[in-house]
Amino acid sequence: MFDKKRRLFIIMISLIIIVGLIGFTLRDRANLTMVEDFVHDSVGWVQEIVNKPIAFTTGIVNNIKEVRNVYRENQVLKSNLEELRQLKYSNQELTQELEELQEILDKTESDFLQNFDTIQASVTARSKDQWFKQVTINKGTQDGVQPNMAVITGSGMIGKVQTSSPFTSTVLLLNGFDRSNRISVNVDLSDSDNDISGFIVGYDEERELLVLEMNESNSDVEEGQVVFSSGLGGMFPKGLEIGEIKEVQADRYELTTMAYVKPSADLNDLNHVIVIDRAVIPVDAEQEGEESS
Amino acid sequence: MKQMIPFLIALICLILVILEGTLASLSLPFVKSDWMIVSHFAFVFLIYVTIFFEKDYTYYAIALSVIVSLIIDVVYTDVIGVYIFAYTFTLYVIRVLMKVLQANVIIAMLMTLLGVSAVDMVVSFLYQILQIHQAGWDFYWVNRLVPTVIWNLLIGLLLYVIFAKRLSKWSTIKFDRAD
Repeated sequence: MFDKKRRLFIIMISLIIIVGLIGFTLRDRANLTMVEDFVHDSVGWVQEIVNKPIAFTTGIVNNIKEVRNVYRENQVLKSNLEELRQLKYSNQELTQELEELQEILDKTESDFLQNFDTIQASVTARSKDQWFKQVTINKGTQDGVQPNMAVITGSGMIGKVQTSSPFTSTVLLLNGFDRSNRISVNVDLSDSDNDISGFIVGYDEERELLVLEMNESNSDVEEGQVVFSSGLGGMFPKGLEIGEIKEVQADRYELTTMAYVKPSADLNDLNHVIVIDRAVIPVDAEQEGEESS
Repeated sequence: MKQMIPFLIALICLILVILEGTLASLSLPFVKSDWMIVSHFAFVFLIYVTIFFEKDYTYYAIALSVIVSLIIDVVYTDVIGVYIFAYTFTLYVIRVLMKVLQANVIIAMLMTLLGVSAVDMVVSFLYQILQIHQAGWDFYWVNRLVPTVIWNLLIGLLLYVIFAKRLSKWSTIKFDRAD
């Protein structure tokens, strides 16, 4: 009799604790508690050890697959190299010109990507529950990673840092974005100087494409145009490639244009990522302030 | 040895939890892209601990399930509590069921099947209430429930082959041998 009562009591208490925990963690939090930081870091540490042999094996398998294509790839790369040399030259010229022009204009701040510090990181794990679009990377606040920094790969933006512990961080992928963390973007029009601005407001699960909402109804938006982050809103730097427009349609009230965007980066296969550190800007601004005062 | 066994089981659980995260980041070749395969390795292992290791008066599997699911909640999700509830509650039900059932391979597989589907449905239902996802039932059972259960049954079979005998041996070492 006593045992049964006690058991019921324990079950009730644990239910209350669980509901409390869910309520506590459901809020939007940028900072984790110490316990969570500790769990993240210690699991991340073990994870890197466990990942070593697995990465080794998959590496070998991939190498064998790649060896077959090496010759053809080599030919293509050689031809690309020629182009690259030309590009490098023109890039140098342009950078020089840009600097000169900036000097003339007295403009020292620039929103270009080159002005940001980058932090290299590798993906150690992905959330096992796929309702959560997040991956874990092996760099944390000790390396300078802070919440809300943009995360990219070579081919484009993949998401932003959601939370960071001292030695690991969690990255929210683009397909997990919703209205509370939307990205301000520009659509690059090749035949006009003006870009069209809009917001990435979420992810369409059925189409597996990002939803782009234009700020105004615009008929110039077409398939195949490239979408870049615009740098407005202050969260992400300007010029990060996000994806390519796959489908255009008017929204329900025909007030704005909606487009569906395919992310340039493959969000399902991530190994090495780059975290973009925006913290450089305030330092520049400070110096400028000191100089002028 | 006698005192080490629970820690050994805990260590295996931890490694399985980590493997869940690692496997999710690899793209498996035979998987269709819209399938969501969720690995519940540690949970499947805890089912076998309940079936083959646990005595009537011990609560190793329940205690481990709280720890393991807390780690899963913290590391892999945003919301703490959903996996704790799903894992521990389902394990408790299995524990009660195992008082009347025999421990053999068919029962073990049946428990894996029922346990994994129950856990995954509870988790998805709770996340739907908490508005983590808005997928409907039709989408859910075709794209997530069936692949997940099949995947975990395969892994369960593997874990059974590796650990079933060992767990019952550990159980006799831990509880029955007098020394």
